[in-house]
Formats: sequence, structure tokens, C-alpha cells
Amino acid sequence: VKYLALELWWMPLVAGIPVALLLWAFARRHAGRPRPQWLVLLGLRGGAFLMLLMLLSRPVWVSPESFDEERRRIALLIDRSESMSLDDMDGSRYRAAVRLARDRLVPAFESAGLEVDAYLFAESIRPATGSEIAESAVDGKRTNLAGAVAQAASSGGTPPRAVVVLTDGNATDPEENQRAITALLQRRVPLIGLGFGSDTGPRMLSVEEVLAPTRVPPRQEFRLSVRLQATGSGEFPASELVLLRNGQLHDRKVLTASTEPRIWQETFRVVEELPGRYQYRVQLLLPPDRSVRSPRAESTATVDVTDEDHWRVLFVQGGLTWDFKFIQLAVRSDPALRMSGLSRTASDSRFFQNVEHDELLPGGFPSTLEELAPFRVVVLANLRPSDLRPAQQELLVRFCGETGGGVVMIGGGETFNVAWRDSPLERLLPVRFALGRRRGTVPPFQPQLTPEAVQHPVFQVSGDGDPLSVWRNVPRLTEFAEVEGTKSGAEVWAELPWTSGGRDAIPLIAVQRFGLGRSAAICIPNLWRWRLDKDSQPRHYDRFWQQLFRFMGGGEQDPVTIHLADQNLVTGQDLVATLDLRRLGEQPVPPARFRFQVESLDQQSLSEQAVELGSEQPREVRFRVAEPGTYTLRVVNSAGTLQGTRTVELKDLEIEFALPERNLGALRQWAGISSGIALAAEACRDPTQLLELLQQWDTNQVPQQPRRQPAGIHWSTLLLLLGCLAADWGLRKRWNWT
Amino acid sequence: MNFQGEPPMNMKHGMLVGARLCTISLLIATAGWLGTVAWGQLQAPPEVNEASFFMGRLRYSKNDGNDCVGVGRNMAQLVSQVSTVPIRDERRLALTDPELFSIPFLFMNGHHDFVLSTEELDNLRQYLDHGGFLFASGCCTNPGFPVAWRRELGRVFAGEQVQILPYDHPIYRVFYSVSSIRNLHENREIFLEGLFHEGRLVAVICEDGLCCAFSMDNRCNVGHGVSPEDGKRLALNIAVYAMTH
Repeated sequence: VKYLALELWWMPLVAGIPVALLLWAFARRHAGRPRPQWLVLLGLRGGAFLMLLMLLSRPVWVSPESFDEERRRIALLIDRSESMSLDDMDGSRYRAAVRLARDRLVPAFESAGLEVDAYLFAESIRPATGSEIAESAVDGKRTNLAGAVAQAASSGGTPPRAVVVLTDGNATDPEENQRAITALLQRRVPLIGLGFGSDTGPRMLSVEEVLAPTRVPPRQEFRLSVRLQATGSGEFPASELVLLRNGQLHDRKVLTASTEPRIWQETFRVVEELPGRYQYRVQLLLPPDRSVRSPRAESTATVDVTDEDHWRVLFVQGGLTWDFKFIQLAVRSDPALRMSGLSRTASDSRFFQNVEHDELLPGGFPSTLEELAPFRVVVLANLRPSDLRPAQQELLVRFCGETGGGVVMIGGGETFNVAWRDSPLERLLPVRFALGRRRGTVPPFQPQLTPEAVQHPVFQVSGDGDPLSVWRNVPRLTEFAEVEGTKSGAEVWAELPWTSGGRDAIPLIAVQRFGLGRSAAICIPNLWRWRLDKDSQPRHYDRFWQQLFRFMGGGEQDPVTIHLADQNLVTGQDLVATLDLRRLGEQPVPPARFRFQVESLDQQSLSEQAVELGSEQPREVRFRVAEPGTYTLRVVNSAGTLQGTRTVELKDLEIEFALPERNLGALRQWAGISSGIALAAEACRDPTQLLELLQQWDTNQVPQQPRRQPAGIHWSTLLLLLGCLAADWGLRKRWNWT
Repeated sequence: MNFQGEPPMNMKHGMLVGARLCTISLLIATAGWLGTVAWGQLQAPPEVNEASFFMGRLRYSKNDGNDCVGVGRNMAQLVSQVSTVPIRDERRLALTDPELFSIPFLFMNGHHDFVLSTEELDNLRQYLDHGGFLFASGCCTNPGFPVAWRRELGRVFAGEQVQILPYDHPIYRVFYSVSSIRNLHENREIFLEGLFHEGRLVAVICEDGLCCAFSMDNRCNVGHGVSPEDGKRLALNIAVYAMTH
């Protein structure tokens, strides 16, 4: 034990206080106090004094450290990030690392009496057994080498003898570099890095996805857009993209040579004469010299070419609702509309209605876009968030945004539940769900139509051009779902009457464009009462729903179509879109002023530009965005009415494959900081050289620093000190000492 | 001896008793108020909430709607046992009541012959035309009611008569799959009968004491008509059919 704060000037203090205590005891004795009492108090105060003195002198335990005796552990880190799946080492890099660890490193370390703690790491690090390492997926999206090193070096009371890292050296997450350096230096742990992969790295070209409309009419041109990604460094030679239709060659395209990693788009234009379901497969044909590899060489899309004479609506409800019955009655009289029902009638049973063949809703709620393809509109009623998984909500988002489907949500406070807030469904709908459970119970009311609704074709239900007279016959309702408000770009069709027109108007019916489709919210439960009411005409209710479904399903084509040109899809550079104004029947439309807008997904306007557009003169517009993400491109006319919209997704190159060559330089830097070593994996033929290195490293560390641990400052010491003082105080009170 | 200022003993006792009485009165009043509120809620007309199942119990002709008293509540409970649909208690109303047009599912039963007035027929016609559904049951296999029902419903829509629903009709398999229903006291099968309007089934009757079977376990109709098990399955099928067609 060593006393760090014990100095020479303490001596008078150490000697003076006992003397003062003895003088005090002597005085007490002469004051006639009983001997046992002052002896006890003297003992208590002396004890407290000694303990205080000991704490003030900062005692520490000092013990010499021996690496040979205590540091018997090797931390073995194996990289399982995606770049380790690259196939350039007689198999993948990961497999090569596992082989080296299993066949050479671990036996060598264990024969030298060292224990091996193995870890797998990518975005994070975790301990792993041998079988876990052998069976692990190599799919980490980032390589947090620094975080893994820091954690391995800091683990345990005794530092590891060394941290051995098997990796390709491509650390894509550098945020924890300082922490790793600190851990290596403070705990004096050498890093041994073994680099896997080739120094040039493979070049890779892949087909990311094929985007196509799910349904087109015969004899109308449509586009198949192919997203491609090139990663790696060096030259990418020219290659070829082929389009197969139902297995037969349909079209081909040459991809020109390039020299840099990128994501870009290529487009095939297709026209089908005959109705049917067509499967389009886009395949990448690479040069035969294997200078470029392709982890994903093909992708497919299915398109229904149909001149169908009816639309199908899917009505999904968490429990049976009267809305289903009455809306179904409404569409019965329209031969062009068919409605299929999917209802949860109990926790473990579902009810299907108008499911005419096995291919329709085979497993309940559709799980793919192909299963949703037969439907033009999906109605959601009486659903709670637990009824629709996030993946199913995302499917509806894609159904609406990418394929042009319509989504309608109808119900009251139970349906427009706050639990949907921030969900994919909320992203899709034109309203925001209200925080807190605000369920409206109000005096009887009739929905107040907005001027937009009065003019809208959906509301022309009576044939006399006065929708207001019809809606005045809607029975008075007593419930509505209160939402927080509508999103910018949404069109409100009906409001709560006494709030209508004001800034805080409460929307009851709202609709918006979402990507290629439309979404609507009808925040009124029991709208079916309109049809049943004595004074109503059922045909008005029926027409409303028929026209709403036609509108939601995209019966009206946008006047302006927005195409993305074939180009690199990157942030921070100009992107080109082509705007195409549709003719009105056979008549050309003269040029007029429009505005082209770019919005983020949360509907923040990013840029806007004026453009003159006529049906005979498509125009190119340029725009750019700074960050990766999904953006909405919009065209509005001079009155601000939406004329066309589409979404575009911009994303970073897959960072793990962006620079796939081995980065030994980074490993050498790490090794240099910690007096370790970095080698190419193929240079590590004999692991005993690593053991020799460790031995040499131990020798270089002499003289070793003794290890110190604080002594004395402990809760029991403090408790004892306080106990002495408290006992002294209590006894003096008891014995009536003043 | 009393201390100065302290009330006399009998007065003190009186105050104590008074305080206790006040407390007890307060408790009784509170309990009474709570009970009144609760009773009031039970008696209040059913709210037409989203996704709820309830039915209107018809008073018609000279019938006061009291045959098989608990049938509305029992039918709603039946629905709740097998589904997630929230239920509410029945509401009694006449065919001439304007509130008829806010309740999409009606039930009527009885033992005897009856005749609907012109106003009742007009309202029923409009109700069924607008999407409403009528479920009827003869009580205790008494033949008077079904005969009258067939006759009166045949007057609702010109050219439409009540007809037997064969077992391949969806109403027999919309929830439970019912392949046949045996009559408990006769060697024959029981069929539902219905009235169609523009191809849509708008009213259904079972003459063999269906309400006695699903509501009273046939205690009022022992050994007759439909068995309680079949009765519950049929009644539930009718309710689900009404909500989906």
C-alpha cells in the first residue's frame, strides 16, 4: 500500500490531534466524568480521526503486472460486412477468413496457451461461437471496424493480449476511430490486421430493379425503366442489356463503357397489341473476360395488358361493418365495378366475399404487388394498426405510389386511431392522425361540401348539377373522426359545418395525389345511413361511391406525364425529366404556362420553375436534389391545379461495394498506432510469426508499469466513520455531556 | 358535570348520530345516482356506432314486440361470441317509426295471425328498398304467424312472393356451413324462406321456432322445431348475411 498524499507537513497534524484528544480526555476526567464514559468517547473520536487521516492520505494498492501471467486472451474479430462476400479469394473473402482462423490461427494460439475469444462484426460487434461463424450471413451494410476494435480492446478486466482482425480493411463507418485509438493505447493492446481480398477489387455491374406499370391498355406505348448500379474502380467495358418477354428476346440495348461507380437508368419502350399478362425479364450480358462481375444480373416485372370492362375494388375491414354492405349495394348497379370483401370476423377467422377464383386473395391480405394487381382501389374500414403490419402498409404505399392504385380509408374515431401516427399508412393518406384520442361526439350535423367538391365530378350524383341539394338530404350524423389536419397538396371535399371555411376547419372528406395514384380519407362513420334514410334516394349514394371509385382508380388520366430520362440518378447534379402534355381527344393543346415543382416526401417544396408546355412540344426540365431520398415531381397549371405527378427515388451507391478493393493501408495505420502489424492474408502462411511478434512486443514493453488500485475509499469505510461520529453524538446526549 | 362550552352529553350524542345519518344519506344518494345513471345508460337508445351490430325489434299490427323477450340481446351476444363486431342492445320500434331508417337490421316474431296497415307496408317497402334487412321467426312453431308473414310480405313488392331458400343458398354457409336442419318433432328438413327484391334477399323467416331455439334453448318449445345448436348457427348466419349482402 502506498500513501500518495502523505507529505512531511502532515507530521505536526498527525502528532497534534492525538495530543489534543488526550488533553480533552484529561480535562474530562478532572471534570468528574466517569472513567468508562470518557474512555469510550475517546476511543470513538480517535477511531474517527484515524479513518479520516487514512482517507486524506489517498492510499493505493500497488501490484506489479506480468503479461505472461495475466494476458492469456486473444480477441479474434472477423468482418461479416457485405464487402467480405466478394468472390476474389478462391471463394469469398469471408470464407477465406474463416478457413485461416479455423485451420491456422486458432490452433496456433491455443497451442501457445492462449485463449481465443471470437467476435463477428459489421455495423456492430457480437461474440460468436465456431458454428455461428461458420454459418453467419455475410450481409452487414456497414463496416464499423473502429467500434469493433474499441469494444474488443476494452472488454474484460484484463486487456487482451492482442486484437486480431480479419477484414478487407474497408472501414465504412469511421465515427468511433478516436475511441478505438484511445482504447488501444490506454490498454496497450497491439492490433494485428490480416487483409483479405485483392488489391484491385472486383468491378461489379448489377440490375437493381425494373419499374413498369402493372396495367396498360393494348396498343399503347409504355416504359420499362431499369435501374443499374456500377461499383468498383477502373474501367467498365461496354456490356449489353436484353429484354425478354415471356422468355423470348424482345429488345436489346448496349451499355457504353464507363470509368466510375454510378447508379443510372435505362429505358425500354414497349407496345403490346394483344391483351394478356406479360412477364418482362431484363438481363445483363457481361463481357466474357470476367473483368466485371454481377451479383444481380436480372430482374423481372409483370404487366397486365388489358382492355378490361370492369374494375375491381378490394374492401378490407378489421371487423364486419355496415359500410361494407351498403357500399356493396352501391356498386351492384354498376356493371363496370366489382367489389371483393376481406373481413376479419373473429380473431382467427376471415370472411371472403366475391372472390371468384383461387388466384384472387389466395392467402388473405395480398402480400405482393402482383396479388394486388387485379384491384384498382383498396378500401380500408374499421382497421386498427394491429390489423395491418408495416409490410402490408408499405405494400399499399407502393400500390398507390408506383402502380397508380387508389386507397380509401373510411371510419370514425376507432378507425382514424392515433396509433397510426407516423406509420406508412399515414404517409399515404391526405390527413394526419390526431395526437391523443379525440373522437368527435357533437350535435347532429350534415357534412359541408367545399367549393372544390361542388365542382368535382365525383359529387355530380343527381344529374341536375346541384350536389348541394343532394347533400342537404344526407341524414344528420352524430359522429366523425377528428384528424389533425390535411397535408399540403390535399384537396378537402367536406368539412364539419360550423368550422367550414375557417383556418381550423375540420376535414371530413379529403383526397390527394400520391405518386401515380390517389388516396382519400372519409372521416365519417355510418355514412351508410345516407342510403337507408327515408328521405334519401339510394341512387345518389350509389352514384357517389361509383364515381369515387372511378376517380380513385385513376379513371382520369393526368394531363401531363412526367418521364425520367436515361441518366445517372445522383444527388448534387442535374437530373432531366421530360414533360408530355396529353392531347384533348384528337385536338392538340396550345402551349400554356405551367410550373414544375420538386417536393420532398414530407411535402416540403425544394424547387420550382416555370415551363411552357403544349401537346405537340414535350419539354425537358432539369432539377437537382442534395440528399438521397424519395421525391415527388409535380406539374401544376397557372391556377395551381395539379396536372401531373410522379415519384423518384435517389439513393447512395451501396457503400460496401463502392470501393471493393482490399485496403491494407488502413489496417497498417491501425497497426502502427498500437505497435502491431498488418499483413495481407496470403502473407500469413505461418501463424507462429504472429506469436513471435507478440513475444517481441512484450519484451519491448519493459519496464512495465505497476498496476495501482485505490484503497480505503469504500462505502464500508465511510459507514464506519459516520458510525463513530454518530455513536459519539448519541452517547454524549445520553450521558448528558454538554 | 359538563365543562364550560362543551355541549351536554345528550346533545353530543345527537350530533354524532346526526353526522352518521348524514354520511349514510350521502352514501345512499351517491349509490342511487350512480344506479340511475347506469340504468339510464342501459335504457338509452342504441347509438349507431361504427362497426356495431344491433337490431330493431318490431312492434307491428297489434303485436307489442314482447314475444321471446330477450331475443334481441341474445342474438347480439351470439354475434359477439364468434366475431369481433361490437354489439348493442335491441331497440323496440314500430314499422311507422321514423327511426326505423337508422337501423339496418330488424327482427320480428310472434305467435298469431296479423295484418299490416298500408302505412306499415309502405314504410317496410321503402326500408327494404333502401338496403334494410328483416329477420322474422315464428314463435313456438305456431302456424299462425308464418302464414300471415308470407301473406303480408307478399304484398310488399309487386310480383315478389316469399319463397323457400334451398340449401345451396349462401345464407346457409356465410359463416357456419349448414348442410341441413332436421325438424325435432317431424321427419322433415327445415328450410328458411325469404323475400327477394331486385335479386337481393331482403327478408328471411324460419317458421319452426328459430327464436325459441337460439334465445331460450327451446324451453318454450321443448322437442319441437329447430334444435338450439342449429338455431344458434342459423341465427348467426342470418346476421352475418345481413351485414355482408
